[in-house]
Amino acid sequence: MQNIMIAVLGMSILGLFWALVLVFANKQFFVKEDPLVEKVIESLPGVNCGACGFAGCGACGDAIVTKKESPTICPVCNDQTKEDIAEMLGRKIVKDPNQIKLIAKVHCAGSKKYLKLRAEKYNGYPSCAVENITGGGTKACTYGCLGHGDCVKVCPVEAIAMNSDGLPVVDEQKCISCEKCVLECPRSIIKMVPENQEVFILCSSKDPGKVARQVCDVSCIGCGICVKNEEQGSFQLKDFLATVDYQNSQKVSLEKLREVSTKCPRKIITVK
Amino acid sequence: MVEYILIFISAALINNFVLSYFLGICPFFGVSKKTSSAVSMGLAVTFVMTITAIVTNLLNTYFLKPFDLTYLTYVAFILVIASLVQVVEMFVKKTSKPLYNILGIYLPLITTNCAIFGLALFGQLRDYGLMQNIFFALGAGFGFTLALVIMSGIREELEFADVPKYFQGVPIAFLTAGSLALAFMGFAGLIS
Repeated sequence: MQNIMIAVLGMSILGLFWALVLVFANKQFFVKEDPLVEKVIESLPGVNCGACGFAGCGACGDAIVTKKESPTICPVCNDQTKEDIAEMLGRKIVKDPNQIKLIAKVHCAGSKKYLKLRAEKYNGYPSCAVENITGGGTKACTYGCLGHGDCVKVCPVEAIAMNSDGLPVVDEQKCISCEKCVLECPRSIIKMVPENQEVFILCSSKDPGKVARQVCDVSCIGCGICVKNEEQGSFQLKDFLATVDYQNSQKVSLEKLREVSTKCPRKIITVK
Repeated sequence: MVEYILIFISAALINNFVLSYFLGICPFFGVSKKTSSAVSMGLAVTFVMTITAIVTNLLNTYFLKPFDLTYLTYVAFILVIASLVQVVEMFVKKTSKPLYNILGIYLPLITTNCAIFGLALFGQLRDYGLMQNIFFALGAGFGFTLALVIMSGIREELEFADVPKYFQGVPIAFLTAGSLALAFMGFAGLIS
């Protein structure tokens, strides 16, 4: 009995002592922080996506106030908020009129409808990263979307959702250009494209034509017909994969691009 | 004096906390991607270890042992280490902003790290005196920093290496840590 009393009493005193020390320290060593920093942090979206390059909205707000960073480094908050923050700090935002918002786009159209499956099925943990490590997965294409939705989980604003075919679709209105999904995708098939882009080749397969043709009905076989038919350099061919040059294709008329798209033997050039 | 130096070298190289006891593996892999942050982390750990060594030793000699409460070692140590580090963090924040920026984010992170706690328990187990314990902590902290800096150096180079697809990232880091531990085994015969 006495032992218990000593133990309880001893530990209580120890705990109380340190609690008092903490209280005292908090009073004594309290550091006043700039109230402006707190106000700026409150105005920021608070999703902590890290797209500005800082550890989170807190660090970003601190940098905006103390290190004279511009509020425009935040790609998430709208123009009004940025102007509000600038006004709070007595600064002005110089706008770049040529800047076009980038949105994430999934460069794969290989849903279950079009894609061959392997004989052996992946039964492991439902995560693209895990399936990719274990050596390829259920779908026969080694470049295509794995469809477990790692990108859906990582999106801080829920802009990505899986459609009925098992492919992720990005909501262009909601996308905040934070590029988290770009980093998360183990097969790197999500790329950033200009908001007003109208022509896409939604394939990432670098397999040679024969293999690409075997594994997927909507794959690029690297024939290069699109590159030959368009002289302005809208299309480029590398590693058996034709890609759209998002800068050059902006200058070409839609009619021309539509015409080129009809000549694609795989019909995979999509024009809005 | 020789005794203290022996304790220091033994804790730093021969019985390295990370590579021989496998304590503190979490920060060893988590914060070893960049050398600059590895150094900061190492400094923070050394700092907290030294404080821990002093406090736990005093606690052990003047509170736990006289009252026969050694079975409460774990609870008492965690309580004291955690709150003391909090106080020190506040103190550093008030007095030295640059030092806080270097150590700041790591300090709360490592209050209950197993390397810190392992140090406190080893000190108690081996019946070290106060000075012995301090040198033990300094050695362990130095060894931890050394392992972290070596590892971060290797991992910075690994970024440019042609690693096989399935070994990229953490797997190759674990393999590297294994070879590093093997290399440190070479120190085993340093003091006989």
